[in-house]
Amino acid sequence: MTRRGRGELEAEILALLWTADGPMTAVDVRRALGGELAYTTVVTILSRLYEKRVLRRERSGRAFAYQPVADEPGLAARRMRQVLDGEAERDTVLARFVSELSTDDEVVLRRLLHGEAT
Amino acid sequence: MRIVVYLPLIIPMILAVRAQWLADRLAPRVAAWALALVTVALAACGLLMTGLVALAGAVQLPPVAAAGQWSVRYLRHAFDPGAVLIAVVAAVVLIAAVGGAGRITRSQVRTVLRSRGALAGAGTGELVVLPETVPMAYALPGRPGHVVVSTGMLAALDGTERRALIAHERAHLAGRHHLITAATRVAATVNPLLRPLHRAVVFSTERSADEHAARHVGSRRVTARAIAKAALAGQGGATGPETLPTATAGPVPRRIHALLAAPPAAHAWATALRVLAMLAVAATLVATLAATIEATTDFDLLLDLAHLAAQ
Repeated sequence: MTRRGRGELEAEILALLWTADGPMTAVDVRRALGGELAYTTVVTILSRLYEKRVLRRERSGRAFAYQPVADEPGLAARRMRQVLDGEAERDTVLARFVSELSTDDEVVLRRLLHGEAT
Repeated sequence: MRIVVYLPLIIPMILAVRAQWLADRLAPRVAAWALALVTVALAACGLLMTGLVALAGAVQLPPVAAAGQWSVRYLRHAFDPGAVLIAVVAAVVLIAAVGGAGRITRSQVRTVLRSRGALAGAGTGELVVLPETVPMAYALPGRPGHVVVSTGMLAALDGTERRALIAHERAHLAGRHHLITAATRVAATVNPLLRPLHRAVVFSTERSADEHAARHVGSRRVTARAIAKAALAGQGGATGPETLPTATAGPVPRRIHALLAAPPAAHAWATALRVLAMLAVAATLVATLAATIEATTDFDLLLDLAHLAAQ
């Protein structure tokens, strides 16, 4: 595993908070990431994301518990959907992780996935 | 006009038939750039050639010949009798091609600008998460670029798979793949025979990003699993025209297959084929450029002679 850059750590922690069931403290985040990162690193990144207004926080005992800001992204999601639905060239300039599957492909994929799990 | 004029229009047919085969022989990043280069060159040369053919007819029109001081009689003698009719067809094709290219380019720019506008305020930083249950993830180019992911997509993957996903999208941004695919898309609009090449280039950029992600998280299997889970997670939604059953496997199973198969050993046979593929691409590029230059200088010479004949 390669060393993770600052931007990548931010992305990983942000993604983690979006999938969490509720607010998470720095301790929670550090534990969820496997305990490899230093506590101070996690705190620094959470603070930075808070300053960027990507996260909001509330007091949880003596620490802060962080969760993602949901209002602006919600609006953005709606606007993005309009763009995606309306633009024919979206697949050329917006590189999707996966394209759509045919029914045949779906069968192949499930088989591959099952084979991998065993 | 001689057959050499039509070479840049015919060569794409030959190359396009073997586009994916060529791409498979080369490393994904090399394939993407090499094939994109030759595709754009073929489109540009094809346009130039079409323009020359149209011009061959245009210069025979008395007002034009008079303006350029060319002998109409000489031109009529130099070009084939059917040249004027072909020139009209060429002019129509040229207008359609250039018009199509302009339309597609405007659409591409508009898509990126509208997308960036839509995301304004949704958070600074490279990763933008949108609260949407529909799984989606893509790279939005720009300065800076963004990796846009929906909560639905994040929920479908585990921690390491998410890292692979983000690494894949970041590879697209770092590699400026949008420039390559946008260019080949325009080229394929100008000359539809180039469509298989465009598809091969798009696939190569995906493979290149996959390999980068696999190296980054240290596991080809995890990356393959991430792709599979992401693709299947997105199947719950409505089907579209792309979900028609195809004779050959689509890009997603092929990407997974490539990751799960062991990296090809440095076999002498494989190396020879790689060299062959590069030579084929290079030869096509050279042949197309040579034919274009030849036809252009021929035409230029012809006009000079027509000018002399008019004295």
